[in-house]
Amino acid sequence: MKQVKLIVNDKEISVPEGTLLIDACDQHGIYIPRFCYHEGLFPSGNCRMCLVKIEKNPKPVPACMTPVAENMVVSTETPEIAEMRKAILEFILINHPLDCPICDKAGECMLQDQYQAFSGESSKFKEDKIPKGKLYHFSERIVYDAERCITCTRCVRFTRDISKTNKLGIIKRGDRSYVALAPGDTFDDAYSLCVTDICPVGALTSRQFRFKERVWNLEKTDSICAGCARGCNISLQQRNNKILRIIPRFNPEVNQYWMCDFGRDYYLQIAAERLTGARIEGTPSTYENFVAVVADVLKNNAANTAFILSSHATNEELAAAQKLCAQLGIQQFYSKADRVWHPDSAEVQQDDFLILADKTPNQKGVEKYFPAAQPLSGLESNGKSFTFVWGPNVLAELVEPTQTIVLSTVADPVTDKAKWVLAGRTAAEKSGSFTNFAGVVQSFKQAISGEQNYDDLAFFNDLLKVLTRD
Amino acid sequence: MNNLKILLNYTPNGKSHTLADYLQRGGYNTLKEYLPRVKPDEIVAEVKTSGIRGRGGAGFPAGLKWSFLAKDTGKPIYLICNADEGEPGTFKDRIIMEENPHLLLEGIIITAYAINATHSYIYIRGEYAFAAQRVQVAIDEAYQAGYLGKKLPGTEYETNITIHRGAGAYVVGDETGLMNSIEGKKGFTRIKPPFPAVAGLYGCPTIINNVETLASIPHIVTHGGTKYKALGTQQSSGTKLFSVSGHIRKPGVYEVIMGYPFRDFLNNECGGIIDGRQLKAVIPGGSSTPVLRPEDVTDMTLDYESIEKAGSSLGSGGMIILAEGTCMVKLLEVLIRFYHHESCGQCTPCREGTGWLYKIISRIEAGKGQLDDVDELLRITKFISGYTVCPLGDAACGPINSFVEKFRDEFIEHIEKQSCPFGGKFIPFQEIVN
Repeated sequence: MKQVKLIVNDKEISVPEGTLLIDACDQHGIYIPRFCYHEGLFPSGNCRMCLVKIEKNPKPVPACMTPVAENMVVSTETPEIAEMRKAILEFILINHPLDCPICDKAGECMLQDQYQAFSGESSKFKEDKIPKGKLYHFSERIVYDAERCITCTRCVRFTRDISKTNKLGIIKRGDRSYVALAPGDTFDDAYSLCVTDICPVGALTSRQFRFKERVWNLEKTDSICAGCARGCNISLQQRNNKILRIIPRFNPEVNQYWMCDFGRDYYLQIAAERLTGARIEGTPSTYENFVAVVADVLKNNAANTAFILSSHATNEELAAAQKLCAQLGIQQFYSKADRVWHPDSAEVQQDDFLILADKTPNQKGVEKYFPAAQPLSGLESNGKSFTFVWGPNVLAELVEPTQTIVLSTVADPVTDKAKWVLAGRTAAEKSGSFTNFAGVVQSFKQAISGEQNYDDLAFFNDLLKVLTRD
Repeated sequence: MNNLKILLNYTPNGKSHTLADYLQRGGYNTLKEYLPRVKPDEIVAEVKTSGIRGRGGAGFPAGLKWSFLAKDTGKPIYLICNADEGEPGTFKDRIIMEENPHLLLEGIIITAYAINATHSYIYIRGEYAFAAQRVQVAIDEAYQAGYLGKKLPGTEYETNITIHRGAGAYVVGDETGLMNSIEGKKGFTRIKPPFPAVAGLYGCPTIINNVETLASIPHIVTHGGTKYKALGTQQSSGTKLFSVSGHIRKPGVYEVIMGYPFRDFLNNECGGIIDGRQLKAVIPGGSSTPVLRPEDVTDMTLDYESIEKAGSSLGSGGMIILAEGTCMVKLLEVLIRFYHHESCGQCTPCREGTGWLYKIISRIEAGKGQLDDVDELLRITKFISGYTVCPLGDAACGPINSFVEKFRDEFIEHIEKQSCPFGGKFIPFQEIVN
């Protein structure tokens, strides 16, 4: 692509043709403050925070609406610009409530941050602030505070350009304007929580997360969403080993800046129905004993064992399982979806944006490590074969409980009856990698420690250790 | 001498809006006689030569604007007539639409031909119900007579006109806000570039002109740009409508040749100030143009350069004359209440700033001002002016800066007395009371 040279603050920089000035500056470490501009949205230039001076231009221009041009001479740090930024912040703050101590956004609020960085001056506003509605329940998920809103229109542009539901708009005029739904409508949008991520202030907040935790107390771990085969890049945010919030991470090739609402609920749902501990014939066992017993059972039944694979397994786990099966000589493999879409659920089955019909994160990995795996429908329930069930979603009548080993995360009819049961881990509790639907391998780190459950990878390695030691 | 009537070329006989009356006055002759002989480019050239400047308020040369039109884009070209006459004090376009609508239609048809427009719109403000009705009847007549919807005489060109009604927002008087409104969007203005001539209505090349500008086109085409240019002054050619209101005996709309002395205009056309009072102030070109004091207008003539020299702007020609006894703080409060009410809320400085300004001015008028409030007003306008998306922010700042500059004593008096020296209202005029 053609490069364009321009001068910003007396320094020559070079960026691809067509780049917006604000992005060009970002790429070269020159931060221009902004509210309405978001890299993932079509710019609108309305907050006026990113105004900069361009030589020979009589008026300052919004950097978010100005493409770079050859030999453009730009100043972002003149005394005039500094004064203007203070003034814009002052304008925004005259009607914005100073309720940071009770605002959920505090700590990750662009208005707080940019006021600290670019102003810090006290307001000269002596008048009364404009009262507006503070509690609009847009949906079961989202609540809107019109007083905190700075009408940057990020959320409006999100529903217009990204989720394409056009649910939100600005109504009324001037300093009376606020974001609203059509009368009687609800914010029914599979990506609605994205507006809480991009809201620069605390106007749009998640009803599920708000008042739960101050954001600076959250410990954040880069992870991959296991809700579907897309593999959206996410940040798992927890405190005291409890996941409190999931927000998307930028990945230009996978999910850009976004993720669906269901992906954010996913771990919260799983947490409710977890399987715990190690069990042999309904009696709790120690992990070491369990490993020893299962190693023995597998060794004796390898020839007629059907190994049912988990599409929630990481690539590393699949590799270890492959090695284990090779060692044992297990040859029958079955693949399955650990989770399928249910018509009664509120979840979207699939759309033309991020949500895919395959509701599991690593079917591609299963295909890679176990190319010979057959669909689970091919497994015959004759009561003669021995089964290793990895992960949920296997019909109980398909297996003979007395000849079944289960490694799974959730309690279901199979785990209730099986002879050997071990609680495994979800993606939040382990490290590894998934291969998404397009073949992109994405690694993630353990966010929270497993409680009363055992790392799947360690389990396979431990089995292998026991078997090769003998 | 000031009796050339180009725009108000009718007898107020109650029939001037009809096609019959217009034809009797030689109407549509330009269309019939000149269009078959003149090429579109030649019309554009004539209009350029005429030097006519946009009559909506900004004063941008109309011919130059037309020449910016993006060529060969493969997209339709639109012509919009801006009849969203919202500037307080301005009601000149209304007279053309109500009394002489066929002149406007002829101007639109000729312009549409000149720029090869696919379709033309007339955007009429919501409050102008009667004007819209008159223009619609005129459009129907023009269709029947074959000036619209059929090939124009001697050409292969035909055009259509649609009226679009506004819903009552000052900000859509701005051309890009107006286009969003036609497209069914909220009346937010667009950031330029791209300019409408490149990407305007529905993203297509668009020319947008004021009613008065377009109504002047038939005359320019008939008589030639050079002749039109010879009227008026160096930088202000032709005639201009002034809608005058305020403390004068004969408020109304008057057509004057540019360069006409203000004093003559005030004493002759306007009939002088009522009650025989002294002149206190003049807002020459609509409420957003800076106010002038009597000493500023002594030698002022009615044209762009002279009014500019006096420290204001010709704007839309919506002139407001104020007599002694007017409370300038109260007047400013009324004006800024308008701008606050009309600010669309898109960009921060105008959305927040106009409300802040209004609150401070109201407080001063109510006798609760503090001495630093006056300079605070100027500090706030400094950060609105030039930093907004559209000119509404500047429009609100124009009166504030000039009122404070020219009548600072009155603001101080309000603050020191902690009350309005005029009793918080306009002093009634004897002539009106009687």
